[in-house]
Amino acid sequence: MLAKLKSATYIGIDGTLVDVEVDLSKGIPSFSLVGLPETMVKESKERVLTAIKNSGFSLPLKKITINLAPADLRKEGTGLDLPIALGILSASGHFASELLKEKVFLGELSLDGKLRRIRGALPIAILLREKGIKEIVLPFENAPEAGIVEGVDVYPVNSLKEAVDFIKGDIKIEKFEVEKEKIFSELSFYDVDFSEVKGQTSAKRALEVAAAGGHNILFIGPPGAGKTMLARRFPTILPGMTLEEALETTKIHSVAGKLPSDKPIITTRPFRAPHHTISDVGLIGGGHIPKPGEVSLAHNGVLFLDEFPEFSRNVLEVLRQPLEDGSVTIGRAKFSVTFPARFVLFASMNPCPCGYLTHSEKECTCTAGQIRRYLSKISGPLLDRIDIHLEIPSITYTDLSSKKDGEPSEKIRERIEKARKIQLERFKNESGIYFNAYMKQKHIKNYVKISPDGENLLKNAMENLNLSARAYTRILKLSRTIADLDESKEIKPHHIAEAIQYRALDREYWEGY
Amino acid sequence: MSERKEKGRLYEVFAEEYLKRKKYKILERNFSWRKGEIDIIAEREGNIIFIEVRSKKQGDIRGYETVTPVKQKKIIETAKFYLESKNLLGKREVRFDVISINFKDDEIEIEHFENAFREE
Repeated sequence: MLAKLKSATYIGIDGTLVDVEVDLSKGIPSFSLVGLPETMVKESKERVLTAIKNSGFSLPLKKITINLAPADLRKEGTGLDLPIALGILSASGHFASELLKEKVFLGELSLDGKLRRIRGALPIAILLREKGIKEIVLPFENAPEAGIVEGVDVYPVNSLKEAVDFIKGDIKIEKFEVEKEKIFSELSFYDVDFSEVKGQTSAKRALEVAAAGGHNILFIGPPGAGKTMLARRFPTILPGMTLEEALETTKIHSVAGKLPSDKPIITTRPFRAPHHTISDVGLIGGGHIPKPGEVSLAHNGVLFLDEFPEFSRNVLEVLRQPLEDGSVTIGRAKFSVTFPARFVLFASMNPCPCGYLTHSEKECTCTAGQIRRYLSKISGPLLDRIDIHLEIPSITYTDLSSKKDGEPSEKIRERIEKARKIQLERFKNESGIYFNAYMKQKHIKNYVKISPDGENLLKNAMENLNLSARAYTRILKLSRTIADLDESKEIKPHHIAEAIQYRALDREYWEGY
Repeated sequence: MSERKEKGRLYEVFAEEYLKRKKYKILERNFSWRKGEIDIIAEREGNIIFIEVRSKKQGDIRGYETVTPVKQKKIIETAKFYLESKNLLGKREVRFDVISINFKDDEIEIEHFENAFREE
């Protein structure tokens, strides 16, 4: 007796269909599973048999053969438990195999027959929409996540028994409806706000520019200047996510198993702050079966690296590919996987090992050699990819004691949203470019128009401040963003002047030592 | 016959009686070949059932716990040989049971584990 049904798994962040074929034949009772199952799938045998028994069904006294097709695809995850169990039950005559058609089944079984949450429900639901498969049966906890995808009817079930009753038509299950508008209209709530930051106006402004143009940013300053405090508040001014962005980010979190159970979809930009002891695999992703790393989890959001030079050298160097391409490709002998990783890099560091090189009162105790070694951790090519370098001065008493509140995050965010809209309009015909930070040479030529006085200023600055060619392109991109914030088509001298400020450190630090 | 073997034979008789009362038809006792032995082979409702009889050993260890994977494999191999020799392989449904017999203050306690193991 043979039963056939459809299920799915995922590779990287994309879903892929799997055919589950179950055959029962007389012979010595046994259970064999073929079709490149990975460990998690191999173990499903014990879960499936026990769950069938504990759901009140009798185990067939038969030789059970299960084939997972296509046979050359590695099957991952625990989502195949439910289809395997249903296949066995159908083949042993509990219900007709025809009832399983036109549906996709997913779910991990626990020993008592209950269904558990699986990874990758969102990418699989997106795949079904593409393939035109209308119905999916999956664990209750995964329903909100899969329900986001339009055109796929989601039937949540709690247990194997319930799934069988639903298939046989003994019980009715309402298809799961997600209140999409509600999820997106819920304003993101943060318990911190920019209005709490006293002083540090230039740092706040730099963050505004970074958020508006998607520019990477590096803060350099003594301990206690407020670098980390500012970083915590950075997400509060980030523009809201579009549905496409939200789906893309959620897909990554879904396969990483990092999706919070109360939130089916990620609607606020992720802010990832890994500790500096992180390994290169942890940051970039990897493993025997590649899993997304921090850079991908920060996709469409912010990757905050505090104490930048404390990260090990090879960890910092692997950052170069995602910063350049907006994605990470992890190659394995038989296949390779690409995870998107487009994020704003936000790094912070001290100017020297002791931290007080630029402090107004405290004396720095570092030798020139120590400082050189410290700064050399950040390689030129890496520095090259960070548009804004800003020195954060130590905070003064007058600033701290001031009663005046700073500008609230919401106001800043409004300006940023406007600037982003201008950019989206500008790049609507350019594929893969969303913000000014991603402009390549040819885009700069097309889109960055500087007024004649601006040209003069830039020429003077280049000559007098001894700025490099690298700094030159960065200044052009930054001034474009600053002009966008100003809602000005043309780039004026004061926009350029501000942009030059954000590059001043090229000279001061890395060229001085 | 050694005392141990004699005892074993006695347990098998108990098990057989128990099975007969449960409407099992006994096909073979102590079926053996070079790779192993099966205590009882029975039939009920067209299914062939291979039964291993165990007695309580010492302490808390129950009889059925002593059917180790190695022993299971031997029983399965022997079952295959039996089915093939009778030309039944692939024609009947097959099950492996364990019957555990414990003496408890002169009372005999029989525990029957249906479908106790299957081929890995």
